[in-house]
Amino acid sequence: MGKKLLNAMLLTISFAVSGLLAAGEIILAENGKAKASIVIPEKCPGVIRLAARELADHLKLMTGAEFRIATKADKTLPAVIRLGGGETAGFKPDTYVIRASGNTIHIYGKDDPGSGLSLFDLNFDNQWKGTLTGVYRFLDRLGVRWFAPGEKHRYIPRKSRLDYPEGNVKETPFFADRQISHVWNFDTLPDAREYGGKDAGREMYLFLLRNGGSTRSMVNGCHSERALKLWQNKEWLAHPERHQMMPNGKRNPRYSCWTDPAVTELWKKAADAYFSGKSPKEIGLDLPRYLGSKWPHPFISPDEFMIDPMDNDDGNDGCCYCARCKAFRKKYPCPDDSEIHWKVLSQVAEYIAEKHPGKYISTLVYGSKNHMPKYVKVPRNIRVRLCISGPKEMTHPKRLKEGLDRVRAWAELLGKENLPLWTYQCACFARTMPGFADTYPQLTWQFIQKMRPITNGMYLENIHLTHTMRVADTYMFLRGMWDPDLDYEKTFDEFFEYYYGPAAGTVKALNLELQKKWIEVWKLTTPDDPDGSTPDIVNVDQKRLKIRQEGWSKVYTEEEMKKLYSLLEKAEKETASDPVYKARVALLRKWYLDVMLSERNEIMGKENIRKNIKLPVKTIAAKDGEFPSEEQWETAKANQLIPAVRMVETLKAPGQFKILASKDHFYVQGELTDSEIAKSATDPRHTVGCEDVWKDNCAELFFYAPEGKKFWQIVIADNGAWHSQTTSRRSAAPKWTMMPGFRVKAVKRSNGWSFVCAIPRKEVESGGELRFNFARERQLKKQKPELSTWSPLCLKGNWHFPENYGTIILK
Amino acid sequence: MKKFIVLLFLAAGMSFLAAGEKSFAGLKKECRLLASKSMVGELEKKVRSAVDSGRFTEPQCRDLMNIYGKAMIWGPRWRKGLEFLYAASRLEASVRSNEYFATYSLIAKILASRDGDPGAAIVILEEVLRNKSLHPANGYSACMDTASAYERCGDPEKALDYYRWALEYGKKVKFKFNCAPAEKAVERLSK
Repeated sequence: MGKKLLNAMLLTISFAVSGLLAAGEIILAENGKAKASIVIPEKCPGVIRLAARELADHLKLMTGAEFRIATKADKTLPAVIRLGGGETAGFKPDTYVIRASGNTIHIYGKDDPGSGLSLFDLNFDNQWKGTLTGVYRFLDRLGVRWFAPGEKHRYIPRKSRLDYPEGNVKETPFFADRQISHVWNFDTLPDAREYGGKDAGREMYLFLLRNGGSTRSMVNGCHSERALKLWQNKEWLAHPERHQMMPNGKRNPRYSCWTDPAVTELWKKAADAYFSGKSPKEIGLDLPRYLGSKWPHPFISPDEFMIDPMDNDDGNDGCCYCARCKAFRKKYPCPDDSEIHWKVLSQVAEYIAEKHPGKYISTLVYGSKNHMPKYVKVPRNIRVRLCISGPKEMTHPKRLKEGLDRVRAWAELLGKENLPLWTYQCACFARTMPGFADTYPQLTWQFIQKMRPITNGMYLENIHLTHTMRVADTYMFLRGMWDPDLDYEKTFDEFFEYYYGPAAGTVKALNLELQKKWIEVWKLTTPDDPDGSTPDIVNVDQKRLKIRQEGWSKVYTEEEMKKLYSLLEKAEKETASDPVYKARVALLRKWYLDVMLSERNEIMGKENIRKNIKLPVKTIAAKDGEFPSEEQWETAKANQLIPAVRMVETLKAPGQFKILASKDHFYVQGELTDSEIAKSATDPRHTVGCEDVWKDNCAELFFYAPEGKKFWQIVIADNGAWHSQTTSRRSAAPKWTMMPGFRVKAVKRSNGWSFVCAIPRKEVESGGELRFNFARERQLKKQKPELSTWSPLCLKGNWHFPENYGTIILK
Repeated sequence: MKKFIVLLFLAAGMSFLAAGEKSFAGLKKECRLLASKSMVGELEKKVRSAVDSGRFTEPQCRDLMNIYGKAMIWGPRWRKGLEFLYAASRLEASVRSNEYFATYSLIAKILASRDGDPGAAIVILEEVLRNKSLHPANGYSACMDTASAYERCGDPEKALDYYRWALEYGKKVKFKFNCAPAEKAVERLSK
């Protein structure tokens, strides 16, 4: 008994072990021959046919083998890959199964039976494409990677023998909402053709599908009030009491008075009609359709209807100033109009909850609706996309906390499944920080970890000057949003290894340096100061230029740019012998660093020269009302004038000037030689205060204080007549006005003329830098004018532009 | 009498407010209308008032000053227009914007046509063309003006370069765009 039992046990164990050994790999291809066919259902939807095509194409690239697609398995082949079918009850969008057992691999998810092959539809709107998602994840498990749109930007592992391990996988992406921007308009990016040629747009859709981007099904769009085009509607126009009352008391039909009960009724009617399947025309709104919807964009989701007010633009803050709205604000105080809008939203949502259970009212938390309402109970059938700055705030603890606290508060109220985010990686937007490398995949990954317990995903508005500048960030974002449990370092290293090959280490070092510099420029330009608003871009025109100047001069300095280029050159050498990697590194030069440099030169190119044009000015003691003495002028440097016209090397009539300063005045002495002074074209009728003095034989002094944008042009003729013109930040339109306190004495001699003048410092200075130029217009009768200048950047045509002047340095 | 005075002040105040609170779009429309009717005196007053009011952004002020500058080009007081345009150039505007480009384009036009100095126009236009963010339609326009200025300066080779460059810009314009003048010029100068 004992021996028989032992033998039986040994046999069982050996079977079990051999069973385990046999539970191994399903061979798909070997030595260029397919060992499996791809089987799709008869009459299958377009999405499965696409999945089959993608699978066959990629498997061929990996193995060289042709994989047949058919509705029945090829019995001559040992294995089969089945697509579609399968039990999908309870599946979420993009949930898929890969079941590999015996000789069969079954890949399936929930598919839309009516789906066609429109990549636009699959990418943006059609959530039910689980089989396609499963195929891409299957290929991912086989080692395929798509780093950027287009055939040239993928990694295909080549295998002489390809197999797949037995086992079952069922996966759903962690975040439901995983979107980026610049998709439908991808081909407008200047380097789009590098990523897919003429089919760049199509390749971008495929790239997103392959990398697990989501549709726009959740809280799609913004400012839906604009889509209703009420200002073109007769009924709306007939009731001005429903329109916004502007501060001047006039009504503006483009905006609504949100406390008017009729406005709430309008939205109720619209939402009800939408969910009832009616067209806008049936309720008196003549609006165009958008794709498969009877309504215009953004009214396209089967489950949601967006109520979101017009964006603030054109100097209109969107607020109504009627008595009722003012009274409402007094009764329900709030920093913005959130209480007003949420009252309407809640009323409509409650109405819809009763009439159309399971449907949602969606909106943004943004702009003038940026606060959580205190006086209104927010119903459960509300979805909100919360607009916050996003991953870049990982470097600003206070601002990050403020943002995440807001997210948590909304998540507690609505549930995280109803709360996607809108975040911003668009420093170049509106030319705020164009050219600064807006790259921080590590910060994005860290941010994803912060948001995973409290939101349902995000739309990352990642606008860059070129796609090349966002390749790494986009790839890492999509990977992280699909599965935030992936190892960041491993994923990051893999990106460089497979995408840049022999230059992996160098290009990674380049990216890390760029990330470091971004953090520096972000910290330099943005204090860690939470202000409760949507902190994404700087909206003040005057500040943008200053930000750009600071960034380029303090962070992306000349030395830093040299460092970046030297890394690039190293990468170019490392990939010189491999055309695939060489081409990818070449993109970094043309569409990344050269773009940065070009932006830098726009600001710094001339500025680098200009800042070295210095005018040292000695300070002296001078008596009130007097000019400096001869002895004092002796100590001042003579500054020579040069031709202000190209191609002219020497002046017929040279000139020079000296400049001194006292506590209260600048003194300028001009010595303008001219052997033909007798032919001066100065009109003797022109006296002090004559606006036509510029027509005379004259000199011009230009002062510019950048701080207050204070500009003075003083024109002095050889007969002592003078006039001046000024502009400033507060008074930008030019005015001919006599500079208060200006004094001048001009003298003509046989060999030229000279002048000395006193300029009150308080008239030209504004705190900070003071720029200056001296120009001469030698006007003689019956001769062409000869123009000369001190600043080498000033030429005739541009000498009214202060970016060409030198800087006064007081000594 | 007291009531009348009070009403008068109220009316003045309200009309001040009304004038002050006009949207930019409306103001721009009015300025364009005045420009089209060559009512330059009124236009100058309106532009000055708006620009000095502090209610509008720098790009908006620049836009209005461009309208005035353009209205003055072919009049006897074109210099005044030029002064406004120089002042406009000192106001901030996105280098991709039409306001930015229009200022320099108009200055160049005045210098070339009214001041008889195409060389000075070239200085301005070449500076503008260094800006890589220029909209292609504006780039086309700048290249054409530069080329024309070079022809007037007696440099057909440089002119041809710029006409060719204009064609390159023209091809990048997404909307329907007529490059025939550049094509004809290239053909003419290539012979």
